[in-house]
Amino acid sequence: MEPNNFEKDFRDKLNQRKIEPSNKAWDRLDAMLSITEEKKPDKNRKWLYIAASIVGFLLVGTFFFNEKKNPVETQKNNVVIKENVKKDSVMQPTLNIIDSGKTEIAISEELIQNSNKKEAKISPEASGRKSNQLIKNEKNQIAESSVIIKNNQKKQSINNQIPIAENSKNESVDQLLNSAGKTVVAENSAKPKSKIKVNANDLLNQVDGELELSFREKVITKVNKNYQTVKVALANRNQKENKE
Amino acid sequence: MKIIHLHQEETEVIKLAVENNRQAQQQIYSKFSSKMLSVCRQYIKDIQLAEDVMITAFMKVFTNLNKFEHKGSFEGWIRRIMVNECISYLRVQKKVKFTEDEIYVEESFNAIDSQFSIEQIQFLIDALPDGYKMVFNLYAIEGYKHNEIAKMLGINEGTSKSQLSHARKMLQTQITILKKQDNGTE
Repeated sequence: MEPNNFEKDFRDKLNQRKIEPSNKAWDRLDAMLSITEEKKPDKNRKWLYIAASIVGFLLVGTFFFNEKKNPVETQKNNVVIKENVKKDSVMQPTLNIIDSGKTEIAISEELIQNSNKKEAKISPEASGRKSNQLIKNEKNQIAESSVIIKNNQKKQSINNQIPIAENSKNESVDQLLNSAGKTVVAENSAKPKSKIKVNANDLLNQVDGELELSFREKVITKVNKNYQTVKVALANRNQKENKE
Repeated sequence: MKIIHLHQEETEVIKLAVENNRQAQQQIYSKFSSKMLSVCRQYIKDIQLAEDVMITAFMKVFTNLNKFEHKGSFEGWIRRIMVNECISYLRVQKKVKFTEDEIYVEESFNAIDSQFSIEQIQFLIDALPDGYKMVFNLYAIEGYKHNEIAKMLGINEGTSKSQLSHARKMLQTQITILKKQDNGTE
């Protein structure tokens, strides 16, 4: 279908036609272009923000999932550890108890020994003192008796010798008292020395033992508590199961 | 040589306009705006509305200037954008409905030597209903084929053909009336 002549004419004339737009037209277009130019960077920024947020979410997600995986692993480890702990707690407490018993026994023994020692130290001394005193008294008594006898003998034999004898008596008593006091002083001086020597080592040992015990006790108490809780839980469970 | 130089100048101006160089954009606008307003005026009777449509079409030209592949003529590319903008305006604003009558008569029009002024031609086109006008402009003035017009307007090819025949018929009657009037005046 060929175009009609009037169509050709129309086309030619219309294509040659030029209609000048108003002066405002360019200003409007300019304004519109500037608006879109202002918007464009915003759009880009928006995209940047969106991209950044996506990246951020991905990072957070990856971290979160990694963290999730790790706790699971750690839980597994914990479970393993718990099992070990359980096993250990089953084994350890008895051992610890035994150990503690042993230590307690040892300590008590030590204490007893110490006390025995002390007692032994004290008692022999005391008894010694006592015995010495007794012996001394006896000796004094004997001496006195002997002196009396002597005196009697002396009285009987020589009356002049009485003051001398009396003096000798007095002298002997004083000497004896002095000797006894000296021995007592010597014993007393010896006693603290021995006490200090023994007590220092013992105290150090005791302190060391106590320190160790305090640490041990903490551990033992903790283990015991956990063990007991586990025991109670297991017992409850078993009871429930039995009931069911 | 001069043509090549001009072409080179045009490509350079386009490149600058792509980079939002306002002077280059204004250069393109001032070069094509009068022609493009004429194109828009073919479709839209109101010159103010035609200008509005032209401005929005120029906005599309500048925002999509990076998509221009320098294969065809730059003017033709701009013109196509203008035509599309006019059609979309008419379709959206005026809600043009094409009567789906596929009965079209291929009439062989008598060769009318139309020596009309451009104002008369525009008057004749303006008198056409929007549907006829669009198809006639696209086919007779822009040189699109029926299948292209059918795609552009979202209608059947047959509808495009029938619309064209109706437009031609109307125009012919209008031309004869005008000629009679002209003869009478003469």
